[in-house]
Amino acid sequence: MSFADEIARFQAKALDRANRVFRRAVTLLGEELAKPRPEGGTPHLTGNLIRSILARVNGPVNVKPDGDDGEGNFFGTDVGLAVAGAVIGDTITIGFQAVYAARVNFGFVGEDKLGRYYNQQGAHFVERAAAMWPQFVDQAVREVKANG
Amino acid sequence: MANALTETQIWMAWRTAFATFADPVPVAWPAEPFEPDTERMFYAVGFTAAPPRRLMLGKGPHVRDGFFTASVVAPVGPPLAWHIQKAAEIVDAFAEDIRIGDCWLRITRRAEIMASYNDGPFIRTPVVIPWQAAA
Repeated sequence: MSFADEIARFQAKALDRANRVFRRAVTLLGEELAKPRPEGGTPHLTGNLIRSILARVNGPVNVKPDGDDGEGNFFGTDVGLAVAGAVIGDTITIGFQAVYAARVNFGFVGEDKLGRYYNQQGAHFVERAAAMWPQFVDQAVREVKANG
Repeated sequence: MANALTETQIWMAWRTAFATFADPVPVAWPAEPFEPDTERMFYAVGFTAAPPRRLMLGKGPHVRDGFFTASVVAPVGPPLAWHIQKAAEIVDAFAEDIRIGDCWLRITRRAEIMASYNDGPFIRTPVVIPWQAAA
């Protein structure tokens, strides 16, 4: 094998590893968002919010008020599948399609039975998962290194 | 015990800094009852931190990453630009690289204004401020 071949092989392997770290870290982020409380940070009542998670490569995730069944219910997430072909340089967006996701995350003002208003604090599960991004990258690096 | 002290220092540093900024506008703090006045603007605060990351094998500082979320909650009426302007005032007050309080807590990058949404008699505009602490 020539020196040039060795360099090309090293370059291809390094790029492949970088892509695998990228995809694995995003998948870990998606898994964290899909973890219900108390294991994760996402509120869980029926699971519909978690099932509304969607990932898109180089595209937006839009709110879908009607859900997958036309009545606001969602069937499942697709983060692992969506990022399978992503490469370094792509922009991956993970979002919640449920129309109430922003209110659950950032909070809302409600009205009780006596007509008094109250401030319902947000759950901030998106910020929590985003703050863990450096940890997901570290974990992805360890896993890719271990798997060669 | 040292860990508990660090967590408290981080929260108190944020609370003091934001209370100073917000005065005299009322603030809905986490885990404290708050009855909004539908005629008056207020701020709603959220605080999140990721699990600490170890830096060294021996005893030493840990890195903590998190977000301080401050939402502008104002009665419906003014145009959207007004709400965004109020949110931008938070961004300016808590600009990147500012150090908060006496602990090693700094804002890591420019805060982000999220999309406003209709919240009953209010419009809510969240501002997400990323922070990092080594302690």
